[in-house]
Amino acid sequence: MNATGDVIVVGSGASAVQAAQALVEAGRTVTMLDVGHEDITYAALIPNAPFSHVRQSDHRQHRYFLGDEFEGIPLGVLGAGPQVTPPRQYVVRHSDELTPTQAPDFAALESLALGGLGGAWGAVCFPFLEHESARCGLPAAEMREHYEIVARRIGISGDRDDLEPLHGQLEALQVPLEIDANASRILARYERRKAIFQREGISIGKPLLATLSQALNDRQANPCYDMDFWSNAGDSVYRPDLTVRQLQKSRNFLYRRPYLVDSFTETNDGRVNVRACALDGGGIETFEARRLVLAAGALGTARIVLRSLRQFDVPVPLTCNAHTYVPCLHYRNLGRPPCERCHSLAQLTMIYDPVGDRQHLTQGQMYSYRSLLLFRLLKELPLPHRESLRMMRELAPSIVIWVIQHEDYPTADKHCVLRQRPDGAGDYLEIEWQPSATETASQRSSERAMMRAMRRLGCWPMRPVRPQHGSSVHYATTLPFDTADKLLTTEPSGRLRGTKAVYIADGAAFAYLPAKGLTGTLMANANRVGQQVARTMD
Amino acid sequence: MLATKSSSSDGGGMPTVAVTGAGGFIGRNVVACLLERDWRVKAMVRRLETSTGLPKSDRLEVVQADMRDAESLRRAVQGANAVVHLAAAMADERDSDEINVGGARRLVAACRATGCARIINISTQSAKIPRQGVYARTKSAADAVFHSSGLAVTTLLPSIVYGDETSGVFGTVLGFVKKLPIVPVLGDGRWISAPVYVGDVAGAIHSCLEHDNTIGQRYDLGGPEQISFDEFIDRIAAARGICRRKLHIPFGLSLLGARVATTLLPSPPITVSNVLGSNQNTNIDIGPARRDFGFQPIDFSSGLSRVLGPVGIDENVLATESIVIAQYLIGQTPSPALQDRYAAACRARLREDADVELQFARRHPRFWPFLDAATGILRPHSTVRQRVFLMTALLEATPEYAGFFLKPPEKPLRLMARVAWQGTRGVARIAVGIPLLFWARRNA
Repeated sequence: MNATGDVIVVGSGASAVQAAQALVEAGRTVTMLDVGHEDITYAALIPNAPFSHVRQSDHRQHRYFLGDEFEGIPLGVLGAGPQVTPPRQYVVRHSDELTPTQAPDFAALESLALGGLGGAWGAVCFPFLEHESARCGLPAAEMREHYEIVARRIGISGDRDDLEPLHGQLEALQVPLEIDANASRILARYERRKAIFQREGISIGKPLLATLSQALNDRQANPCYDMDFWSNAGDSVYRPDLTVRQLQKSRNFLYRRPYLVDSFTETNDGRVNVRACALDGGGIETFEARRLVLAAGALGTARIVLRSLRQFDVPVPLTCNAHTYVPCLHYRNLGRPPCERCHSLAQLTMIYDPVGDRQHLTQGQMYSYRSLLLFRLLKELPLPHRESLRMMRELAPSIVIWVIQHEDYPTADKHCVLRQRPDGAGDYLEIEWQPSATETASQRSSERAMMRAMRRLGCWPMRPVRPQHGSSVHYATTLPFDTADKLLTTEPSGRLRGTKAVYIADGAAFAYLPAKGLTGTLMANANRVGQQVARTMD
Repeated sequence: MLATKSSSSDGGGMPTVAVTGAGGFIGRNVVACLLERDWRVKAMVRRLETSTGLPKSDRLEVVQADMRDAESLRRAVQGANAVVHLAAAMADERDSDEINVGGARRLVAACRATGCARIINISTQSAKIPRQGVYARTKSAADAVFHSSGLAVTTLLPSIVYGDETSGVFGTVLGFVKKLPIVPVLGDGRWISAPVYVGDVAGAIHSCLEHDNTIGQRYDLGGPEQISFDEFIDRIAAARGICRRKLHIPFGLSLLGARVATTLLPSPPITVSNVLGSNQNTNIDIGPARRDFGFQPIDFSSGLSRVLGPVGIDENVLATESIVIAQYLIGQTPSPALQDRYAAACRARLREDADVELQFARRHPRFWPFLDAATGILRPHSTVRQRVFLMTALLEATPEYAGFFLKPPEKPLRLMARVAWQGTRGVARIAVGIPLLFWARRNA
């Protein structure tokens, strides 16, 4: 038995680290249990230089662009792949074996890495509106304060523009980063015809990004090298592992790996025992603490809870933002050279509000296509490679991709179940996630409206690409916030219902997913839960 | 001594079979097959050192015997219940008559003298051809000797027998395929054979020994497929993951070459019999063998993978392929390092077996672009298309070629004109590629 002090936090992703930091700041001692894979291969190879310079000079580039096993060349169906470039493959390493899932139609991406899925995060960081928070089960009034704390902690850059009413104000906002040629042309066109766009419920502005435009602590501003899919120069994009490294300087914080947490039990004297498997061959170990904070991701946390409470074969809800890629030819930009000094994160955000009541928003992020390399585009064209290569190399600087994201709410057809293997060798998560015909129809109609707007902005939409369900990697709702006293739900305080000392700090508790991307709110809520847990121990 | 020992330890009731030519390619396999099926075997070899390839068993006795020496045959056959006759002069040697025909007479005499009544005589399909060389003539004469002997004779006439990487016609072709970029073919390559796996031949011999209804009969032995010699070569090459062009040497020229070689050289690489035997079709009918003793040969593909293991891809093939594809894509020959990387990427990411389209593309490198075009429409996940895609990725992530991919854009009008031109070219390539693809599939 390992006595660990006050609190055990499970996981090291966006939620886990914010909860841990809140606890450490409140003077509690925290032990973080994590598997903790890291990239030991590629990061060191990538030069800190602009994309086109790297391309023309670095003889080792094939190693990180394509991977040592050429794993970066997509040959199969389109899944959650594009953002998981070879230098980010460590994020999903060994998840298939260690967190087995049976989900034939659902890309269930889980991470056992240091920093969790945050290692491959696109850094778009929008707060939820009050009613969105409320629908999630979050205390809307409190959330503002936590958003501000997190924004100061991680550094968020962005503009105060037409989008502000759709995500609410953030005081601690750094000035926006420069946007690229495609984006500034589109934004200028939007500004000129704003009245028309707004009449149709379309607002466009710069995204809030968890990347620095000004130095923060020992992190540097984004150098705008267009290398953000491959490296993180100067740690300018916030990744949760940065917080782990910073917390490790504190005497109150212990990061322990490689532990895969299996289950927990509560003792009669109000303490929690956590069973974890030491993956370095140490076998099963038990840790004891006064509180347990679960933040292993909506799927990972559900596994641990269902296993601990022996709730096998009991379906729990699962939500996930549906995702559609709309590649467009931004013909007004044709013939202009690509921007040499820009970042590769989202350049613009379009929010579509069909009714004007801000209740059912759809969001699109615009990326310029360049640093993910031309060859991936060719795969989508049914032309001979020689010709499509010559066409694409002319067109690529004017190709933009809008990634449209839809809200998601629990229904009977979206759930996961923990099943025991018949041979007694462990368990696996079975996932079924089917949107209803009505949902799909309303999503298509929003997409059509947004594509109309794209046309008006000078972007010719090509055939939309709908990746596999689950590809957005925004999972939630497995143990939703609920005020009613129901098993397998989370109390508003973050405590897992039916337990005394187990808290849920990640997306598992979100009862709803707005179209915004949940990471910013995950962190704000985790900070809130962390503070709550600290308070219960006074 | 050996025989005494084995009969005492193993039970004397076991039948004994004497095998002539036991040190040869088929002989080794026959001996092994018979030993496995509990026969006692007297392996007859002309020179004792050829017996090293024989399996170890206390039911095996190696005896020195020469088809030219009646006494040695009599000694060897002594005590045997049956004889399997495989020994033959196959390369039109001067003493072919002496060995093949005279040897048959001596063997028959030895059997009569020792009371061994059963003979399985292994002949050849060549014995059936009308225009015969020395080998075919002496073998058919020997068959006549056996069948008029009054003994219980079964004659087997195998087509091409294959079974290891060096032996027989198969070994020779494989050697060419491995070493030469172009495989020479004696004649037009349309000669039909039914390659048969050596294990099946050995099994057939054993079955004949067990089935008395085969006595007095002649059976063709062949694999289930009858294929042209060109296809025989292609299939061997494909099993190695490669393809080879063939050089057809006209029949007359081949014959002349063989004559000259036989006159000038002590052991000529080709003989007149080779040329004659591989240019006259015989009717290979394995129906009687199936009917009378349950002959069930494996198909050529299964046999190939038994002999050569699973398909392995030849390094050179991938290098050539990488050059062809890079030339097509950007008109440049990739550096050796990039060629190697292409091979590594193929091994890491693609299945190794070559489908119809890939085999066709490898055989006709100039059609790669059209197959790329056609598969883009009809089979986007085909290996041909994936190979071009892999090479595109590799080129893009190489600094030497980055300029090609990062070309500064043109003025809008020119740019649109270029795009339209490339689009037209692409469509034209598809229009040529699709019929080509169907044609390639049909001729597969």
